[in-house]
Amino acid sequence: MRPLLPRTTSSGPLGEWTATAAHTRAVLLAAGAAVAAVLGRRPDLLVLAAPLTVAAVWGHLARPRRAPEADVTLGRGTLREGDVANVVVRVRPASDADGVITLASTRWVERKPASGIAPVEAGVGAIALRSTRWGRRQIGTLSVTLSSAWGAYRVGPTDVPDLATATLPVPAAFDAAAPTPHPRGLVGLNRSSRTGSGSEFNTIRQFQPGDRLRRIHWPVSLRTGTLHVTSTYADEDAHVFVLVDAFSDLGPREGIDGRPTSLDVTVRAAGAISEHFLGSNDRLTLRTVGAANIPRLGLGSGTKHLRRVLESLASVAPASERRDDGQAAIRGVDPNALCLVLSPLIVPTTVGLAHTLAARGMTTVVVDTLPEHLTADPGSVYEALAWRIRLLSREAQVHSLVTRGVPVVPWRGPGSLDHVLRDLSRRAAAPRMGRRR
Amino acid sequence: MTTARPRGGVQDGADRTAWRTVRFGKGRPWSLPQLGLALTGVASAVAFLLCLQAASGGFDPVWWALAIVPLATLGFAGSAAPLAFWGLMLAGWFLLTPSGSLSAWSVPAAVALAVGHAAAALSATTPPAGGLPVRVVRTWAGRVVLAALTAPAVAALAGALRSGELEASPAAYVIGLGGLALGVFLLRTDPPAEPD
Repeated sequence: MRPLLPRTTSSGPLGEWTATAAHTRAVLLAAGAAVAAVLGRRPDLLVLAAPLTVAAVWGHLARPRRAPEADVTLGRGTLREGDVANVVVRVRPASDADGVITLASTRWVERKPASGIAPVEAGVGAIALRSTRWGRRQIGTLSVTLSSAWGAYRVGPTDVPDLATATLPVPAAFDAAAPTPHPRGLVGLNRSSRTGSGSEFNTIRQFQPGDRLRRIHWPVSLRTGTLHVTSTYADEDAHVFVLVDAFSDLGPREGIDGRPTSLDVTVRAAGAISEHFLGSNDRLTLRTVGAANIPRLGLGSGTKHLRRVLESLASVAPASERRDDGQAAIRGVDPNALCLVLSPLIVPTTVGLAHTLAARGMTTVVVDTLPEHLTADPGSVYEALAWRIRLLSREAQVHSLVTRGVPVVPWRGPGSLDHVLRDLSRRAAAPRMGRRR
Repeated sequence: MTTARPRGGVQDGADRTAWRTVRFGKGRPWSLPQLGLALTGVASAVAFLLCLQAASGGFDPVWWALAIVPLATLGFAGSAAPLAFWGLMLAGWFLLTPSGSLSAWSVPAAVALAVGHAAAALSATTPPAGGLPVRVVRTWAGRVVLAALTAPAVAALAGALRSGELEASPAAYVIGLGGLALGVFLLRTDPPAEPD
């Protein structure tokens, strides 16, 4: 099944105008009263029938002659969680027919008006909607109903083709001051271990052919009598590999305004991490395990790649591929990449993948995305017991990772990875004991 | 009965299209404008019955039970229920008022009938939880006033004919036939409807 693509426009005929019960009522009552008045010699019935006759004739004469069509436009096809977009319906011909549009209730879509009913005036009607959770979804069935003068003729309610939206996760606030280990590229903000063109000061050395003149350090040059230049460390980019565990989605789903589920935390954290590293000109690969139909994203950098990453995250459907062993996800990863495994550590498959990455000698960090509120207030004693057993088992898995040298850090937003990344960089720069060959 | 004000996270200014809704038990929510239309239907039924009582000189009190029908048939405004209701009211007028009479109470009764018809018709144009923009209410009120104005005109004409002040001369027959021809011309279908 292909992922649902955003669809922002649709149009179609609304059908033919048909007489309503109100028009039938006016015609029958007026005609019946008039006949009774004539046959029964009752002029008062003629008086009673007069306004209804006017209503019937007026409604008939003012009936629209052409079958209407509707054009529906969704303001934005791609939203962020909590963003608002307008659905605008334009009726052709823009006659003076009154009407209403009705947007059916759909999960994770708030409507304004909350009833989902808005008037059509001068051929235009609009409803605002707010997407409250990441994901790809249809906005709900939109129906259009038009009425002519005196409610005599009506079109609809006619459903127009569904519109769809992609809601990108709102990345949680994240920032890391620590450098990324193993930078290897040509551009980026990470300090290389070698000297080169960059911004961070290394030393002052004697001028060599090829040095830029603007690097000349004049005070030292004048003092020593020979030309000296300021040398810097090269700036490099790193490769970050983000593995998202979509095997489980624990907790009540309450959207952007409520408490997050484990997958909410995972997806938003992945978005935040991607935004941070791609904003630092690093290269990033995103892979998911446990979710079906997620397009395989290649290595990339920049804002366009961030957009692709967020759209991939929006396509995640929890536990839609339970047979996934994750081997395909970790295939072909750069050995120097920083591997970030985002998982609530509930399904052993993800723990096994972290072990595999670490066993390959890759720098691996597991980001624990289990929300605290899940275990903080269990509903019953049995739930508390179940969580306790589950957490004991989880603790054993975490311990096995730590024993292997894979740090497990809980997701806490900004600075979550600072400490561990700094340690990893220090470890990468430290002298190593090697076997002489 | 519970009431609820629409809530949601879309808070970008005053919402003039959101209405307080009322829910009767586990039924669907009704907006206050819709309930207002139902009460207008009740008021028009009461007014019609008052006029009928005055015109007929009194009737069985059981007829007053009909006043609550517009409220009881709140969810059937777009069906044949209002037709049956107002048909019954007209039948009651036909049966209870003296034959050949032309009561002045027929004019307010006609206005009440027009208001009741319009209330049911307007109610059928929007869903139960939907509201009514002020512009729509004004438009419908104008239409009802125009339609209701024909009642005193017809009453005056009928009264004049009945009192003998106006005699049905050949010119009147010509004018009547001309009006009938004009009505047929206006109500024709273009192209003519094909016979089944």
